[in-house]
Amino acid sequence: MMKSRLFGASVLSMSVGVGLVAYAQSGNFDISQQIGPNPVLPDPAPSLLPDLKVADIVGWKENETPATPDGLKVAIYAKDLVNPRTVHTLPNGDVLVIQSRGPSGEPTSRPKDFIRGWIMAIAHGGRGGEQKESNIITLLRDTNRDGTVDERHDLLKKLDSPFGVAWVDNTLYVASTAVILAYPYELGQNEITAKARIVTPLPGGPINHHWTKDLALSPDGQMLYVSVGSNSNIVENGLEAEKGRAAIWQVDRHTGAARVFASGLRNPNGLSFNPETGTLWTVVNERDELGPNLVPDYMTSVKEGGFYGWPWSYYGKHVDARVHPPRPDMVEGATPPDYALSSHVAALGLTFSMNSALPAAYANGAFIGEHGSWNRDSFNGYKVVYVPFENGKPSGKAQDVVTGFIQGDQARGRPVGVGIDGTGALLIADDAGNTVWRVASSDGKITPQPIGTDQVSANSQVSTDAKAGRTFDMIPSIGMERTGSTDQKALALQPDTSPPAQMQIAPASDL
Amino acid sequence: MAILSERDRDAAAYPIQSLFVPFPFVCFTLALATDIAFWQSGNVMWQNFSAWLLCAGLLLGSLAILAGLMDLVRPRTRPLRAPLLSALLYLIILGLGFANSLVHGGDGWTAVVPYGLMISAVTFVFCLVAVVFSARKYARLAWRI
Repeated sequence: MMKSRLFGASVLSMSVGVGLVAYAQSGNFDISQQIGPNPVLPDPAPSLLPDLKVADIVGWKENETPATPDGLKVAIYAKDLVNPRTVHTLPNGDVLVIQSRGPSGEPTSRPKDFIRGWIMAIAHGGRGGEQKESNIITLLRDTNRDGTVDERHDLLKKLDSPFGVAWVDNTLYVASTAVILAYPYELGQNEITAKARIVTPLPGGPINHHWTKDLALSPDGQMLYVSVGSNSNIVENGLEAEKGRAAIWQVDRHTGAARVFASGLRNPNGLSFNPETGTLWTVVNERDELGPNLVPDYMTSVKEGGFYGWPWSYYGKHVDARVHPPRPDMVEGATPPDYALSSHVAALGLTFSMNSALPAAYANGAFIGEHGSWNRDSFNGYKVVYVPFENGKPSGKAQDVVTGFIQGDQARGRPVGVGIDGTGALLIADDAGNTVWRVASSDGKITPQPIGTDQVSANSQVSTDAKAGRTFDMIPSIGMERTGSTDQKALALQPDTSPPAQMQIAPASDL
Repeated sequence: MAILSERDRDAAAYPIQSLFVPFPFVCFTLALATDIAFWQSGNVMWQNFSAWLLCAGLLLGSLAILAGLMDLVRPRTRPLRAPLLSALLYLIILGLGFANSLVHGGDGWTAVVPYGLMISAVTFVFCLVAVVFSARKYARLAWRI
C-alpha cells in the first residue's frame, strides 16, 4: 500500500512538472516583441495546469501613489469609491465615476468553474467581509478647476452592473450589463430623479461571462456604439451562447434599433473615437490558456462590418484548434487588429489625448488602462501606457505612463477606465484600489475650457425629437431592479422586419 | 465481557472501502462514453458530463484510499485487504483520472479530442485489467466486482 501511494504521488508531481516546463519556456520571451503592429506570436503552449499567478490585493496605504515619469504628477482625485471602473467627463467639466460590480449568477457548469470563481475573487479583492454597495454613478465636481474635487454627488444607485455612459441632448445614456438606459439629465444637476427610458436591451445573463458594456457616442451625435464581450473564453458555453456577443453594436439612440457593427472581438472595451479621423477605436482582451505569450491583447480601429477572428482565429488567420467545427471560411475573412499590447495585460480603458493639458510628449496618442494578468507566470499589465499616434494611426512603441500598481506579488490597485478630466489631466479609475487618480502636467497647466468625453462635431444636426415614432416603456424606479421583465417588454417592441441584432450570431453578416 | 451479537460481528467485518472503491471504475467508464458522445456530436453538454464524472471518480476514489487504510488497521477487515497489484492498478487508474481531469479542464474541443479521449480509453483498459486481475482474488468480494 505504501509503495502504491508513492506511485500516486509521483503521478501528481509529474503532471505538475509538465506545467513547470511551460513556465520555464516563457522565461526567455521578450514581451516587448508583442507590442506594436506586428507582434511575434509563438506556437500555442497550453499546459496541463494553466499558468496562474494572481496578485493579492492589498490596497493603497496613506501617502502611497502610483509612479509617473518626469513632467507628470499624480494625486488622488477621489477615494473611498467602490470598484470604480470608468470615468466620463461631461462638457461642463463634471466627471462621472461609474462604480460597478460584476453580476453574480454565472452558472457553475464544470468543476473548473468553482476553482475559477475562487481565483477571480482574489484578483478582485472580494474575499471576506461584507461587500460595500457598488453599482453607483457618482458625480465629481471641481468648481474652481484646481484639480481637486470640491463636490461629490451620487447620481444613480442600484444599477445593474453599469460600465459605459454617454451624454448628449440633455440625456445621460447608461450601459448597464443587460440594457441601455436613457435618463433626462441637464448639466449641473446634482441628482437624477426622473425615470429611465429603455433604449435597447443588450445580451445579459444568466451566463454573462464578459459583462462590461462600454458606450461611445458617434461624432455626429446620433448613434451609440456598445461593446458586448463574449460569453466564454473560447466558446466553451457553446456557440448558441455567443449570439450578438464578441461584438460592437451600433444603436440608434432615438429608436433603439440595434445591429452588430463589427464582430469577432472577444472582449472589447474602451470605445473611443479618434478626434483626428473620427474612426472608432477599441481595446480588446484576447483569449486565455494558450500559454503565457498568447494571445496578445490589442488596440484596433473598428471597421463597419469588420470581423476580427474570435472565436475561430486570432491575429488574422491564426486558427484556434479549440473551436469545433473549424470554419476556414470565417478565418479567411478575419481582419488582423492594428496594434498589439502584449499578452494577458487585460486592456480595459482607452482614451485619446483630446487636446489635453498634458506635456507635449502626450499631445497626440492614446492612453490605455491595463488591468493586469492572471493567466501568466509573471505579471504583465497593471499599468497605464501611452501609444503615440500620427495621422490617426499608432506611430511608436507603447510607453509606461503610470506604474506602481503592482509591487512584488501584491497589487495596490488595478487600473481600468481612463479619461481626460475637465482641466485636461488624465484620470484613471482604479477598481481594486477604490480610487480615481489624477495625472497632471507637473507645471500645473490646464486647458482653457473643459473638454467632454463625448465629442460631437459642431456642424452635425442633433435631433431633439428623441421620441419620434416610438413608445417607450418607463421603468418604475431609478436603476434596474426589474431587468428581466423590462427586457421582455422592450424586446416585444423590436421591429420584426429584420432580425434583431442580438439574434444574429457573431460575426456580423449581411451588413 | 459482552458477547458481540452476530450482527455486530458482521458490521465489524464490513470493509468500508467497498462503499467507495467502485466509483472510479463506474465514473471513468462513463466518462469514456460521454467523451465519445462529445467527439461524435460536438455538444458541450457531454464535455461537461465528462468533467464532472472525472471529478466524482477522483473524490470518491480518494475516499476509497482513506477507507482502505482504515480497513488495513481494523483487525476484522485486514484479511480482506486488496493485493498489492490490485492496489497499484487502482492508484494508476486514479492517477490517470487526475491527469485526464486536467486535460478536461481546458476549454473547447481540444480538452477532449484527442488527448482526453485517449486517456479515457487507456483508463478504461486499466479498469478492465484491474477487474480481470482482481476477479481471481477474494478482493472481488470486497470490491463487489
